[in-house]
Amino acid sequence: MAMACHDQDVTLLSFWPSPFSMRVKLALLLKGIEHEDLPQDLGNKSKLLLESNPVHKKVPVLIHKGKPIAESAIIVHYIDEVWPGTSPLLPQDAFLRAQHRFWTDFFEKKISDSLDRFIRSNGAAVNEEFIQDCLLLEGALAELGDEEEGPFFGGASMSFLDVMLAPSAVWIPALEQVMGLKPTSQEQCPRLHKLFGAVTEHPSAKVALPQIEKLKEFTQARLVSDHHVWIAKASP
Amino acid sequence: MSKDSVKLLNFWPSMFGLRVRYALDLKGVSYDYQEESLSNKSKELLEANPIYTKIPVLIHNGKPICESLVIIDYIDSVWPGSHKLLPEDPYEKAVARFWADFGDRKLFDAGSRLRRAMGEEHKKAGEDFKWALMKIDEALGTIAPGKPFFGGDAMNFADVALAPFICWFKGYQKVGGFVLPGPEEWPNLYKWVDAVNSVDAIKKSTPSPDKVAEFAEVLRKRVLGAA
Repeated sequence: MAMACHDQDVTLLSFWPSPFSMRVKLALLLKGIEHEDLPQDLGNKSKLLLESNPVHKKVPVLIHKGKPIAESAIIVHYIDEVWPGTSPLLPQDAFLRAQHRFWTDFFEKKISDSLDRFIRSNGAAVNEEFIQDCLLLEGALAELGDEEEGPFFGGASMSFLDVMLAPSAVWIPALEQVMGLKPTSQEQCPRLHKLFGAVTEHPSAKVALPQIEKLKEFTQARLVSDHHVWIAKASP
Repeated sequence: MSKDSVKLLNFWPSMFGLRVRYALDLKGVSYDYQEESLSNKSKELLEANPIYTKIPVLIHNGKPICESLVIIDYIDSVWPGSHKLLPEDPYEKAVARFWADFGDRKLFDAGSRLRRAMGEEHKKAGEDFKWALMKIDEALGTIAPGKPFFGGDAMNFADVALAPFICWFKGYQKVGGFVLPGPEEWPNLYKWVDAVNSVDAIKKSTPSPDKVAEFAEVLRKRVLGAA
């Protein structure tokens, strides 16, 4: 891991099951940024959270030198801009950057959305949509990621899009095992499977992402208490 | 020296397409404009945006870029010299991105529900729409107090992302069945509206609010007809 950057005043308002919170944690760890991690109780939101993100009242929020930044993709952009030296995330090329942003947006509009609806309805039709969307993502990886360099969109190292997608490496198996979500097969999405495998092996991701067993317990508990909308409501 | 080829595939009432037009016009970038019929999409559009088959698409030297905020981010990178849209300071940049995202996440979302929803949901959409505009009014007062734009004296990324909603206000009010609060309640918002409407680059491509309102009503009638 890289030398820790001693920047005072970096605080993350987090929620460990939130994939959006995981993204920010991962970016901070990839860049070796020392920070205070303040887990939030979303059922009883803290004054700090409400003051830091008064518009959406959601996690994650990054507070740097007293100034709050909200929305995970925006936070990761910020982190990459303020700490560019270690583990650069956004590509240099403007067109490639646009592709990373496009596919991040696709993930939110399509994959995240269909997973959300699957959690609520446990429906076969939604599951099929999810699979089709993953196939499109596989296509993107084939086009944008150099397989010879490595398993990630960024080749040998994780890039912006990899960080955005990384939480799925633990969430998809959790949903598969608890709710019977049918993911894509290795034959359907060989590179995506390799990417998620590489994510789970990555030293920073091992810290940033919760264990699948913990996520399963969390999901099971929520199902029992009928709080289907917790993912959608928790964080952007 | 080869000239950049810049082409925009668009549909005239689209707020998203308008964002791209504003960005290009503010920067003085010349482009070819192609009007698309959404019921008869061109082969070019289907090939340029196979994932969504939607406008706007910017085709720059043969390469397509889709999704309006992604496009204007791209435009700002490729033509940085004139009228920079994203501030240099990372924090200010994040703030600009936040409010652009707010436009999609809250304002457009409520507007979309205004068009499609019925009964209680329709009423809620109206409340949410007004809430979003109130937040924008507040934000303008906090981020750039005493200045006309999110970007201070000139339009920035957030201004470009939100400005296209202005020509849609009339349409939203019609389909929403409400009248928006005025400048007494939202002084910053209306100052911003006036400032935006006086920018030449904005005047160049903004469709008439009456025409947009007509279009919005057509969309609403379709939804009511199908109900």
